[in-house]
Amino acid sequence: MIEQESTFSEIGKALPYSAPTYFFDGLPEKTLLVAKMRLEHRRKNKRLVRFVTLFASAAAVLVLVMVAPSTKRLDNRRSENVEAVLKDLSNDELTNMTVVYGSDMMEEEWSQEKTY
Amino acid sequence: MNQPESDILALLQNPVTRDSGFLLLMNTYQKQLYWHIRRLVVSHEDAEDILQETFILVYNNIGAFKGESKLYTWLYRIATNECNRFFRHNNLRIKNVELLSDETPELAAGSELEGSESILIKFQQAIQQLPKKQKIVFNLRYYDELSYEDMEQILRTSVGTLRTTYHFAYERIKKYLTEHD
Repeated sequence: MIEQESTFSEIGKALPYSAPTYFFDGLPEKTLLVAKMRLEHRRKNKRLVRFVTLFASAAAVLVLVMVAPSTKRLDNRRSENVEAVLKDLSNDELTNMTVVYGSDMMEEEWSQEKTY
Repeated sequence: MNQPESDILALLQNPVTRDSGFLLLMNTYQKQLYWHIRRLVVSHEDAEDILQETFILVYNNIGAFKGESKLYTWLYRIATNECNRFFRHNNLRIKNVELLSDETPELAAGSELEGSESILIKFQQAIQQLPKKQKIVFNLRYYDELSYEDMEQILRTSVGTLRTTYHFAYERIKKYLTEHD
């Protein structure tokens, strides 16, 4: 017996409201249908997300492949600019540069290129 | 006679018989869970929504049930969590008392209530003014007649705490009925 039940025994377990008639009829079938629809909807969303991720990855790889050769072209252009500046320097200015940097800058750059 | 839990579980966990297992599960527990939810949220429409959400969650997560508790305590746990989620989105503590008027037209019309109707409504008003946890514990114990051990599995609260909570709820209801007599 539930303790303290005697105090509420005259009230009992009845409620002052009820469920609509026939509410429970067919409810399991209706709920099953909704559950399956939600599951299918979730699966479709997952497939879409997977497709979009794959597509984005493929697009990123394609962009990288296209950009990579142009980086080398940029380096070549930079070397040409340095060349043009050095050409205009006098012998004294070139000597001073050698003293400050302690080595031939172009030689260092060329040796780095060789390691590639 | 209700199908044993183990039979229902076996049907649910087999992909071939999952749907028929689900229908059997709902036919067995839908009324019990409906009234548990309805006593908390009062409104039939809200109870209907929460009941449906509860069983949909069960259908989609049956794989997560490891048999560490009874099946019906697991169902009650999901239903109670859904009610808590509903309460968080709708501050219903006071509104539930007002909702009683919607659900009991006699009360709303202000008509003279018969003695038994009047006491039932007053009793529900007393329960609805309880803090949420006390209301849940009281309902599970008084209406569903669950053991404290089963409630421990549903609410993940110790038996000692549940006993104390029920005691406090009981005293508050008694006090409310005395003051509003």
